[in-house]
Amino acid sequence: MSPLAIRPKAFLPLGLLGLSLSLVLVDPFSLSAAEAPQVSLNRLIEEAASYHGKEVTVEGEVVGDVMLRGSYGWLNLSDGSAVLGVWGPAELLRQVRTGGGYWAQGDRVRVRGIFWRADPRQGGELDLQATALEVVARGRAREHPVTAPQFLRAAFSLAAAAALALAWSRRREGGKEERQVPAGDGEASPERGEEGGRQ
Amino acid sequence: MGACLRTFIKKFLPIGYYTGKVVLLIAGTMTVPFLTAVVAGELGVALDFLTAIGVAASTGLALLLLCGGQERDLEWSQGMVVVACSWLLVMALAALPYYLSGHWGSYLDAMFDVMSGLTTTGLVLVQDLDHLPDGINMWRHLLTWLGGQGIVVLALSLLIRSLPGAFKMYVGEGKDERLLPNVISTARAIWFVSLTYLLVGTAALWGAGLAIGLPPGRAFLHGLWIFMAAWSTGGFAPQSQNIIYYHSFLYELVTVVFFLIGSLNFNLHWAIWSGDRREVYRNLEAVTFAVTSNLLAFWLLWELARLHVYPDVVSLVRRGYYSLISGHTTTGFMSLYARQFILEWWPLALLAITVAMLFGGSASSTAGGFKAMRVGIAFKAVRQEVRRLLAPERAVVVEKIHLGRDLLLEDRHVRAALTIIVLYVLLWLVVAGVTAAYGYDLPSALFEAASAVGNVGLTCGVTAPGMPALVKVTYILGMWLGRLEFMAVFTLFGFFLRGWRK
Repeated sequence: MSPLAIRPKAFLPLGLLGLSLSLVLVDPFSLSAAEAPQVSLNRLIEEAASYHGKEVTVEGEVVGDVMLRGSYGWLNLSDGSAVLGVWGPAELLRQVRTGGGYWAQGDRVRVRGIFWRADPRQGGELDLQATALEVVARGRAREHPVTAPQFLRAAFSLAAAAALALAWSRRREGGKEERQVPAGDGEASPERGEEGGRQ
Repeated sequence: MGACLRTFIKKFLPIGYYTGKVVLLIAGTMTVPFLTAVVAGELGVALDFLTAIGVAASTGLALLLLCGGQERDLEWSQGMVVVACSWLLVMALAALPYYLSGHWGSYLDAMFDVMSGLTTTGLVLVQDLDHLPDGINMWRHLLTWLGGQGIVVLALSLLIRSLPGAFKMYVGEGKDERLLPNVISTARAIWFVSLTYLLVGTAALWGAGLAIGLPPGRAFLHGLWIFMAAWSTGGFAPQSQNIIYYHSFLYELVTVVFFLIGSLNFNLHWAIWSGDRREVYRNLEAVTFAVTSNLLAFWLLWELARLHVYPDVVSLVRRGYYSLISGHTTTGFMSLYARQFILEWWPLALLAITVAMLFGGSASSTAGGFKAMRVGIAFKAVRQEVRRLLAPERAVVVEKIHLGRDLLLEDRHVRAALTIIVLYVLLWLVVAGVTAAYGYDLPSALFEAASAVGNVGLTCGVTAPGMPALVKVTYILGMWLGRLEFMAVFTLFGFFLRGWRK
């Protein structure tokens, strides 16, 4: 057999290597988001000087909007202890589908990156420069069911206001009629005169 | 006894009547967040607002019915008491939608945030701000905008047709602009200018929001809310990171423009609006603000550079100057995390910000603090005394001040300015003392107290839902006294004390 003859078994390691390489090329950021030590966001802020320039992993919910600016962008991550800005390549941030708000619990992501106490590229901001991002759990809708007490409270308070408005309107109409009678002016003027005198 | 009670009640009736009108106005303004909630599909929030509208309207109407009659003149003390009462009652009623939303731990927390909004302070006890509904966010920012212009000013513009005593309520709310001969026309002029800026500011921030990657709808709402908070020097934001959320120099720049304008005296605004641009260079307040802000900026940046807090000049100026101007104008927008103030800026840089917060912006603006006018007058008074000591005995030493027109500095000006400054300092020390008594470290207590009484809103982490109830109450009183500049609140206490003794 010629040394150049093709043997299927010889392709197995090459194939695995190729597959690994292609995975890295296709999704280079999502493989090793958890390799660096995981830290809470509050700890990063409290011990910013000691973590400055170090690689860390953080995990939390994406809150608000992912703001893409050209080939890079920002997202804001909340882990319950604090909220921190994460800056990274747009292709990395595009993995996030849902940002947290009133209607949704945002995607839960794990981010690996370099922590900066005062990032010179971002005007001295305390932030995390992401190098890898992994979506741990997809966001979900938040339910806000309307309850019967809410309806009842609203109806009762509006009814009370309407009744009082009616009473006030009747009193004002009565007052107008009284003022149209000349004697009414006479009654009102001494008081006005007295108050005017205090001026 | 009976006659005294009757006199007291007779004096209280017009107070109750006008307070009722202010409360009715607040009920009316709740329709804005109600509609916002409806448009956003937040049905539960909309129902909570309907409840609050009903309760506020009922309270206002009940006051009108109990204290009814017609619009009548007020004594000075009555005008002041109307303002102080209105602010307290509005705080209690406007907190209802907050509390019903479930984002505030207690009714006290909800009232704290309302007072913080109305006084344009910006300290918050809200929980899980990042998941707040649009309706509630609209209410938070609307309250700070209304509070900045003055809720009584708004009532004068809309609900009170003609009233010789209107000026007394107007002054009670810390305003003394006389742009037009009639105080009600002046109040309307203030609202006209504010609405014009609202359109311009929202458009500018909407554009900035789009440029930094916010979706159009969110960019508009954020633009509107951030403008309201900037113009009123309030410092609220729809996200817990405050201005850091946007990570944008452009956004910060636009906010600086609007909170600087918002912190100017409305008389100065009106002069510029009417074409008298020279007033900017001559006005005592504008000059004082320029001098103090530059001196404090130099102090702050020098100290931050000495401590090597920032890696380069751009970062140093962006973080340092923004915080300083935000504090000096009493806005309170944060481009730093709260704890960074204590961890990285202590001691001298933090002291510079604390002094800036106490100095505050201009009188007759939405800003708090001593006010630049009083700082300027105090400086001029000291200079006059020094000149008097150096001059021959027979010489008459006069000092001029320019506030729209040239005035001779008189003892009454100095007394009035120093009285308020001394009261502010005392209030600051009392609030800081209460904070420190609960175990907070002194630098944090001094910083946070200056922020509360100066109606600023910068925080180093003291203000949190877990802070003791008495500290919350102290801060509420501090914000209220600071915003109304003491006199209206003192008159309220005096009014009831006198009535009680009789």
